[in-house]
Amino acid sequence: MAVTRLSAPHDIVTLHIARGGSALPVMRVLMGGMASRNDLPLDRLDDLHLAVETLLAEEPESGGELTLELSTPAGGFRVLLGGLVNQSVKAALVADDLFKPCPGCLLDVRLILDSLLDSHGVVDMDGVSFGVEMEKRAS
Amino acid sequence: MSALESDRVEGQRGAGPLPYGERVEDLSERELLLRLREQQDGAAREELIKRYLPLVKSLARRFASRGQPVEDLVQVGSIGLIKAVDRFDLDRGVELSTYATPTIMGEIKRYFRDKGWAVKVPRALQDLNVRLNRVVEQLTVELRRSPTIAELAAATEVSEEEVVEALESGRAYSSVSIFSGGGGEEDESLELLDYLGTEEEAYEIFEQRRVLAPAMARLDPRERLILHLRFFEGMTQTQVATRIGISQMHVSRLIRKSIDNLRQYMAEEEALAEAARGRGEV
Repeated sequence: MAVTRLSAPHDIVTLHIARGGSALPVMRVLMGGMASRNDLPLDRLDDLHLAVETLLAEEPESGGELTLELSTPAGGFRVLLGGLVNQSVKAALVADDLFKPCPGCLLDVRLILDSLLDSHGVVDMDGVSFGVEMEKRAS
Repeated sequence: MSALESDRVEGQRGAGPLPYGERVEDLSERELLLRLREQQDGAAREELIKRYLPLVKSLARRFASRGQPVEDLVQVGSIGLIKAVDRFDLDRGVELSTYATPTIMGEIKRYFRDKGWAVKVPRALQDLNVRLNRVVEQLTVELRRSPTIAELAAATEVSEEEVVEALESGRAYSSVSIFSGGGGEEDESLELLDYLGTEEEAYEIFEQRRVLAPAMARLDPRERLILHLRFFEGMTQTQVATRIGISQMHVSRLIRKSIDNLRQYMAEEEALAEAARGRGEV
């Protein structure tokens, strides 16, 4: 699934947070706040929440830092979740074969993200970790 | 006693009424498991749970520093133990303790996840969350789409920040509210009957996509239907809610619960495979 690079987003918020129990609730609140500025309906916001939760469930529970970059381009909401290290997830998300299984993943992350999002794609970050860029239109 | 005699005695004590004077406490773990499987023997089940409670306590203590009373964690872990005892398959060739450990850990971790950061949610936020559940439903009907946070704030006469906070705080209560609300059971049954054929196909796709059909069998029919509609029919949460006759927020909670269950199943399977590899069986 291709991701179109969006030009000149209106708002950009970046969160740097240590992995661990409180990271996810903080991310959800931040996403909720940004969604309210962009009139994103609740069910679409919840899909984004679930996509982020799905990715984090495949990650180690501690060690290192996660980043969350939120932007609100016209008519949509973009989330870049960075600092991910599960290479099995990365391989599944960039695979050409839609039905390729995801060894090393708890669930089929590709299937879930395909269903929840309007678009998503993998972004290489620092050679070790990677990010997943996710987009959801407001309507 | 020879090995043959030992097997014969185990076979006798593992099935049928116990010989006079014998108590479940005297039975071996395998005999208890046999009695549970063959006769659904409640006493054998209780004895197994009693014997493994020290394991639950030991695992619960590992989380003692995370701000929750250990007694609560033991309670939660016990639910995992009961699930493990009920689901354990003697033919797997692994010890019950190997199977139970990830299940108990999974249950405790899920408890922390549900609790999240909002261990103590202010009463006002709890009340707002309850109101929001109703308002989301009303506005979804009026607007014929899911409402935005700004619309919810206007309808409940609070700030958008309060709406966001209340929605987040509501997650702490998802585990208790998950079985409440919803449409009539009869309507759901009809819907399920309509979908039986399609569901079979969905399992096949799930199998292909490695979300695992056996794991799906652990979900209740409504959860399976919701996952099917959301992930294979491509319906939005709001459309699923309308179709099933429950609120969108309830659909959201059920999707999470189902996915959590699938994930826990996979983690258990992974732990078992790991244990089998350790013994050189694979």
